[in-house]
Formats: sequence, C-alpha cells, structure tokens
Amino acid sequence: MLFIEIRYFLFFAAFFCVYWLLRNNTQRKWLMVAASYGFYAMWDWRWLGLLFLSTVVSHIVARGIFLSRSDVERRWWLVPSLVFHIGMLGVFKYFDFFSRSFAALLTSLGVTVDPVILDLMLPIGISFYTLHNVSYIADVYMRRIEARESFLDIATFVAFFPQLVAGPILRARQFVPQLDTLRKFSDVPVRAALFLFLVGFVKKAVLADNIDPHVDAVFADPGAYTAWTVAGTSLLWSMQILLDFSGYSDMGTASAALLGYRFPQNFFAPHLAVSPADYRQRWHISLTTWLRDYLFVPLGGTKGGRWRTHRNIFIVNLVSGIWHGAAWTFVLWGIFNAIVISAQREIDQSGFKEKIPRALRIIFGFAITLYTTAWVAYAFRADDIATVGHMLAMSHGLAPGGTQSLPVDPLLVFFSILACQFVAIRFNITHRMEKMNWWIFAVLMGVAFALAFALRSPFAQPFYYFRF
Amino acid sequence: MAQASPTQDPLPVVTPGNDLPPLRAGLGLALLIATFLVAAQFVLELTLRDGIADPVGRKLDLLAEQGANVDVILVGTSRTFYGFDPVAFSSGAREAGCNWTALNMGIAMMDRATEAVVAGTIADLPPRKRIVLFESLPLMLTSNVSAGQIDFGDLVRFGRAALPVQENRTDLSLDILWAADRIVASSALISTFALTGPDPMQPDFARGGQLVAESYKLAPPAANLLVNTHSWVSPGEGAANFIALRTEEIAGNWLSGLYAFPALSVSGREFVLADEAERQNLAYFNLNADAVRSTLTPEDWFDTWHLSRSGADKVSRALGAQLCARFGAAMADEGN
Repeated sequence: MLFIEIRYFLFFAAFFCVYWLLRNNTQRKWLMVAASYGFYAMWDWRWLGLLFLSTVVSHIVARGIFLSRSDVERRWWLVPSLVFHIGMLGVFKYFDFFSRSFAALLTSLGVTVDPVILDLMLPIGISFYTLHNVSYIADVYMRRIEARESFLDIATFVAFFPQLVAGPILRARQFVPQLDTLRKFSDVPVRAALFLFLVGFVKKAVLADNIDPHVDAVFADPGAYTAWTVAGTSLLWSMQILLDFSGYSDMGTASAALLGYRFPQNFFAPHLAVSPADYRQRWHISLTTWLRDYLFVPLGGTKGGRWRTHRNIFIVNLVSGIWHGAAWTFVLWGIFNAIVISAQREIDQSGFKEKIPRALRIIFGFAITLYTTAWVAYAFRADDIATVGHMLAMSHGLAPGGTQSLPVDPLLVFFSILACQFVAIRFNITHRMEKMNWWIFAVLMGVAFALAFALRSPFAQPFYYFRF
Repeated sequence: MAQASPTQDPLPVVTPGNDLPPLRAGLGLALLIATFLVAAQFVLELTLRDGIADPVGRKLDLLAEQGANVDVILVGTSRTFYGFDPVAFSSGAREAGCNWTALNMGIAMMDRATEAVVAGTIADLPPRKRIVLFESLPLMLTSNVSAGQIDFGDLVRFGRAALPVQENRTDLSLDILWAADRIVASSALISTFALTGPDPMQPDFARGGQLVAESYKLAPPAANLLVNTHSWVSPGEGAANFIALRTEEIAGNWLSGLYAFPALSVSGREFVLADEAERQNLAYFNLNADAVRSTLTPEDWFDTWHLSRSGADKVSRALGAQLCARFGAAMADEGN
C-alpha cells in the first residue's frame, strides 16, 4: 500500500477517525500497533513474525541492559543483540552478494567454487526497522535514555506505519516520549500537515514518477545519448531520487502529524547546498545523523588526527553505501562520497576558502556541489561499475556520445524544480499555510489535490527507498 | 542559497486551543473532499478531451473507414491489440477455404463503455453478414473497474515493465502506454468516486479527437444498463447476455461469438465463459485451451498476457481456420 494510492487514503481516513474517537492513550497505542501490522501485512504478511521478533529482542535486551549492575553485564546483553539485528539484516540483504563476491575472488585466484546462494526475498523495511532497533538498544547502553517497561511503547515505536517501511529513521528518544501523553487534536497543525502531504504527493506521483521513464531510458542505453544529455540526466536523476524519497518522508511526516506525532526533518533541499559536506547534512538527515552518532563518533570522529579522521569518513561512507544496497555500485557510491567529503575537509583545513570573497565562495561551492552530486549519482543508479565509468567518461568528453536527446532538457527540469524548492524555503510556505483561513484552505486543497491526481503518472513506481 | 538547518521542524508548532475544534475541522475536511470531487470532474473533462481521445479515436476511425468491407471484426483488450494479426488471419482463413478480411479492434485497457461504443459503431455500419467476436472483457472488468480498484502493480507489469522485452513493436507499445496512461488516470477517479456527467452525450464518430472522451461520459450509464438489464449474476452470464443484446439489436446482421486469447496466466474465467456461451448457444473460441496454445514457445510471448509478433501469427492463422470451419457456410450464404 503506497502513500499515493487511494486505498491508503481510505485506510488512513478510517484510522484517523477511530484514533481520535478513542480517549484512552493505551487503546490508541494498541490501535496504532494493530494498524501498523496490518499496513505491513498488506505488503507481505510473511515477514510480520520477523518484525515482531526483532521488537521482542530489542525490548528484552534494552531491559536487560538497563537493569544490569555492571558494564561487563551490559556488554553481554549488547553484543549478542547487535549480532542478532545486524546478522538478520546481513543474511537477508547481503549474504548472496558477499557469497558471490567471495566466489568471484576465489575464481580470480584460480580456485573455482560454487557460491552458496540463499536467494531470499528482502523483507520490506528491514533496513529501516533494524536501525530503529539498534539505535534504541545503543541509546539505552550509552545511558542516553531509560529502557521502557512497556513493550507496547517499543512495538509502537518500531512499527508505526508512517515510518515503518522507508523511514525517516527515528530515534527512540525522539519518538517514544511522545507516546507518554494523550495527543490532543487542538495541537495538530492540520493545514500544514495536509499541505505537506500534498507536497509529498506532488513530489512523488507527479514529478518523480513522470521523470522516471526519461531517466530510465538514458541509463538503459547511455551510449545512444549526447554527452550533454547524459550529464544532465545524472543531475535529474539525483533530483528524482530526492523527490521520491523526500516525498515519502513528507507524506509520512504529515500522516504522523495528523495523529499528533512529530517526526524530525529528513531532507532540507540538498541541491541548494554550498558544499559537499553541507549536502550530506541536508540529505537523508536521519541516516546521516544515525551514522554520525552510532558509527563515526564511536570510531573516534575527528579526534584522532588527520588520517584517522579520513579513515573514519571512509568507513562511514562505505557503510552508508552498503546499507543502501548489496551491489558494487553502492560500494563505489560510498567511496565516491568519502573522497569528496575528505577532499573538502582538506581544503577547509588549508584555509584556502577564507581567501575567496564570500559571494564567490557560495557560487563556487554551489557549482562544485552540483558537479560532485552529478557524478556520484551515476553510481547510485547504474547497473554496474562499467556503466558508471562509461557515463562518467561520456559526460567529461572522454568517450564518444550518441545523437539522441530527451524531449525536454533535463537541466531545465532540474533547475525549475530547484527554483521551486528555493521559493518554498525562502517564504516558509508550509508554516504559512497554518495561518490561512480554514475554509479557503479547504477549497484550495480540494482543487490542488484534483490537479495533482490528474497530473500524476499512471505508471506509479514503488518508492525507490523501499528496496533498501 | 538557503542555509542548512537540519534541526528545522518540518511543521509548525500549534498553540493549543487553536481555531480548529473537531467539528470545524471535520466540516472543513468535508468541504475539501467535496471541492476535490467537483474539481476532479472539471479536470477530468480536460484530461479526457485531450488525452484519451486519440488512441481509441484512431481505432474507431479505422473501424469507420474499413469496417464496411471487412468480414471479421475482433473487439477486445490489449490481448487482442497485440495478439490478433488480420493479415495472418486472412491467410489462415484462405487456406481453409474462406476469402475473408479482418479488422483488429483491440484497445488497451478496454472497458465496457468503450466496448459499447465500438459495438454501436459496428451496428451503424452498412448491413451485411459479418462475424463479430468479443473478447471475454466483462469478466475482467468485474474485478477492477466496477470495484473501483486499479492495481498500480498491474500497470507496471503490463505497461512499462514489458518494454525491455519487446521486439519491433515500439509504435504499438507507445500507443498502448499512452492510452493506458490517460484511461487509467481517469477511470480510476471515475470508478472510485462515481464522477459521472449529468447527461450522456452522443459521440461524434466523425471526429476521433472527441469521440472517446464522450464514451467515458457514457461509462456509468452503460454499465448500469448492463447490470440492471441482465442482473449480472455471473461474469460469464453477463458477457453472454451482453453479446445476445448486441446480436438482437442488429437483427441478424452479425454472426457473433466470444473468444479468449492465450495468456501465460490462465484464470478460470475462460472456462466459466465457455460454459455460459455453450448454454446460450453462442460460438466460443477458447484459444487458451486448444491445440495452438501448446505450440507457443517463449519467443511467441511479449509478456505474461500478450503475444509477440510470431505468437500473433500462429494464433491468428489458427483462428482463421477455426472461424472458417464454424461460420464458412453461413457466410457463403450471404455471398461473402
């Protein structure tokens, strides 16, 4: 059940009514868990047990850590639980990839082996709810939060349907305290939430899905297109994935807000960033901060000197790449990102930037960020590393291009959408909506939704991040 | 450039006791939905006029131009659009002793309303004995359009996902995709929210650009006619009744029947339909169950539901021979 489907609207409308009619917080939580499991079952009921098991393990382990009397005992709880969660993700998502890669390595060394292939289907959302569980256990272990006595709270946190299958990646300390109090309808920013849902719908169903066939065509046969088209399509693709994923986040955030819960910001117009590091801070913020808090900082962060910092940047970006997908292209994507971030850090440390006037620095930073975004994006979409290399060479004039071009200039589409993002942020449109006259707002939204429905692509794609 | 602010809240914090008590909020949401329905009607009008008309309109233009002279017309879905090759059919019929010409009236995402318009167009052709076969369309519709559900997964499977395996059918696929695009976008809204026009308009067959848009205005009344007139007890019976009604309307100018094209995923509906057609004494050609089905190889498939060029050639030849055996004598009486 996609957020852009009519059946989700019906599902949510029914849930919304029953939820607000209930006056007891515990009853509401039971309803949220039941509806969330139902929501998940509509994707694939066979993996409900896995979701439940991972929640049970997290609850028991967190309680165990919290009640432990020594650090050694705490560690005895922590390590097996991390092995369980990461191992579960590893088996479902990475086993075949590493098995094939290992067999290929042995073959290249002259030892022929048949790889063991499990050929398991990836349970939807496993990458996300695994990180939810790990962050909860880690926060309890690091004494950032107390373990909850109520299993219902943890089950609601892990399974809450607006974020269940594709994030944003919530922390227990962000969300679980919100479960303590009965949410009041008078606290709900209804207009802003409905508008945010519309924005998410337009991003996904109208823009991303209509862009997709064009991007698909170029990545399927890049050699047939001109170098300019290939280069522009790379940027367009980076915009498409942003619209797709941030559209999902917007609709999830809006759905949660209409129930009285708040999610953190997950995207902040990354293409308007003025440096690659700035870009990373605006893109999939919940994952970036998760990796920072639970991997980069524990590895030592920036405290161990220059080379140790670069090593940590490399590890974090590599893990980020592998988290996104079990393929060498994602490994390459992670390495590309690490190189870009490390290079920027070296430039920042050299003091070179301070010698450039601020306006020029912003323009140059903006341009270089788009440039690096474009060539990093090849690795995120291409089927194999050879295609990445070919497209990179083409867009730099190092390989011959074809003669075809897309019906619309991809850069024109890209910059048009970017301009809309700039205006939306500059004028804080979502926040302004909350102040609009309610009746006028209702009429405008009805018209806007009708237009959005008419303009949506009939070939709706599942959200791209569902596959991660 | 906008400065990074990862901690910015995506939504404003509302001061408790705002201007939206539940009753006021509920009324506003009702107003929003009502506005949506009304606005969707206008948007649909524009979408239909500009979008749907052409692909189906071109088919109806073809019918109007050539229909008077052809002997056999197959009316069906994309399975017919892909799978029925009139040239191969004529060749197969000729080998069996019938010198017939044929027309492919397969239309992607065909629904009852469009089928009714096609049947009406055939009825308006100059009277002569001709064979008109209908695909088991009503059965398909009972599970989607009438239930108000459009499966986006089906769209992906039937539409763009099939493109990489196509062979020399780019133009055809684009037609199908474009038609599916507009039809589904519109029929999803129509069927879900019952957005019907107040007065069904008479289609202008001479103007393809506007014709099919009008056919969608006919959609709910046409569907109601079928449901109310024939009780719509079972899909098979509904289909058979529909054909019987059409046959009666044109007073014997048709030799009509039903058919089912091969598909890799065979549902039980072909067999339900076969039983019903037999009970009604209608001709029924189940190409999913006869000898030609077993001759199809992987190369003969375009995707799960549709035949490729080679598959269409095999099936159409076989159908030509079958129809000649069944209707050859009756058609010969009319001098065809």
